[in-house]
Amino acid sequence: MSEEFELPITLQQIGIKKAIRKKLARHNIETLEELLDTDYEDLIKIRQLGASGINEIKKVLHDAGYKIKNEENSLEAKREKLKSQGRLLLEDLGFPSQTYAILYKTGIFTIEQLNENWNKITQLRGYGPYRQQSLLEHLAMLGIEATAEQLIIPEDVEKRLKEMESQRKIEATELKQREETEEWNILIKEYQALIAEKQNLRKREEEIDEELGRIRESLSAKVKQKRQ
Amino acid sequence: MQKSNKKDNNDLYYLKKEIEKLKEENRKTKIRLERKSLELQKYWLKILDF
Repeated sequence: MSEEFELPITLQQIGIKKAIRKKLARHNIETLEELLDTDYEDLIKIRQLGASGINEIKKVLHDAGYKIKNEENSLEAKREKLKSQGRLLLEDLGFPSQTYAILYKTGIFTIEQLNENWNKITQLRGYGPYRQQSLLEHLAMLGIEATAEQLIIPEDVEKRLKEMESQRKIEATELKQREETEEWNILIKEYQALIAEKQNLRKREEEIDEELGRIRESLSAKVKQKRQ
Repeated sequence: MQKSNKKDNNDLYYLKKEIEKLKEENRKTKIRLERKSLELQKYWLKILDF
């Protein structure tokens, strides 16, 4: 470790682009160690780095065998987890990306979470009148009414959303099972090949053992002959 | 459904373990074979010396 501190690896050396390096440098992140020491949550707060910048950093680090600190707690990872569980996300309900992106940043991915945090929505950074209008319009399109304090989800809309979600869950389970089956099939093939290799090796070993036995006998006979 | 998934995961886990075991076993056998082949070669050279 001490050697790493003596010769710090620069972000340029690992292939981070200049534009991203400049943004990171403003936050005193100039070496690989400093980057690896920066928490994902702190990284996403860096102004103008954006999702593409984060993805670029993630890719470069992954290629080099590293990952962003606490990446598994990242919002993207949380989103992926909910998606793999078959949860219905705002993007699945057709919300415009500009609208849901700002909500995702605060950890709001589903209508349920939106409802729970509805009274805090207006305080969100970057949530101006345009986005508010867009969100309200889309909620209305879904049949959801919004007051200042809460969302009013009619029974039939809730039922429809639940049906959509259970369909998603079935699809997610099926996908997981398919992936497991594919992995199983690949592993079974590998297992069978290894069993065949084991049998061949054993056969070869038996042949060599027999040959060794024969040659030892013949050698000791020759030694005896020579002595006589 | 949960139960069957869990079983599948266990099956995958044991299969992976078994594969690792086989790989290690085959690796050791290959080393043993190499050693025995060299021994055989050595004996042949001795026979030729006679």
